[in-house]
Amino acid sequence: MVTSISTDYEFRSPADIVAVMEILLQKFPYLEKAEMAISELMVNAMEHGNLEISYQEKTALLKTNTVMDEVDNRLKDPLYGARRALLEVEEFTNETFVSISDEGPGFIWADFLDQDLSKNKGLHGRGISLALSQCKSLNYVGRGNKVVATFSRPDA
Amino acid sequence: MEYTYIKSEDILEVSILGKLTFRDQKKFQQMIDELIAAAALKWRIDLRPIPYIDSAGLGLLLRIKDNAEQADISASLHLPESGQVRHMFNISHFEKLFTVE
Repeated sequence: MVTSISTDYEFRSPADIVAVMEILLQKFPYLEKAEMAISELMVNAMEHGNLEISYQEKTALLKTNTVMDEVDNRLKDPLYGARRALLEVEEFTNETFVSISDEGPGFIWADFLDQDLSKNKGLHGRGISLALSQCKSLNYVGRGNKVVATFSRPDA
Repeated sequence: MEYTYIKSEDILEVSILGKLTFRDQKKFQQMIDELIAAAALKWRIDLRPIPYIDSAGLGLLLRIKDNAEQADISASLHLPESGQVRHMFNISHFEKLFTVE
């Protein structure tokens, strides 16, 4: 396997995620079917990684419709707001690796990986399982602040 | 996201347009508040104009169900026959949570 392209994108905010996704899909159009998976992992890196919004906190914020307000508040916080997340794309002959890392303390990803979605009737908590359904493989690394999603190349 | 709605007798015909994602939480709640204020007995929500939905968007759709039930309103969804939104409903088993036309 020979690396043909390796590209990095930095992001920290919701607007960055939208902008990075647009650039990513322009450069790698075949990743359109992976858009949901990559976007979910980027949102997780921002909300739960860098900004340290816990599952329980998000549940409460959703009830008051203030998730984005809290995201904005933490982005202005000197501790959380200074953190950056990184999306890296490595293209190989048969597959593409998309790595997303953040500067947070990591989280217990195993609780959300491959869950039975039919049993989740809550307002959130589906992102990782949905992302997994779009990937060839999904692996968390180290303390859980880096995830590597593998996608098959459509022409492979 | 954008939305339109029109009331015909006691039925509210609602169309949601554009991507429905984690950034649409406030606008979606604004839509629900307007739908409740329209005082209809039934909401028919057309999701066919939505090209893309994420997990947060699915969560927003649950608010339709919860708010309708609290207001004693009958709500149903009109899904696209194929595409990303239909796929997301399939893999998340969301059809079981709604009345789907």
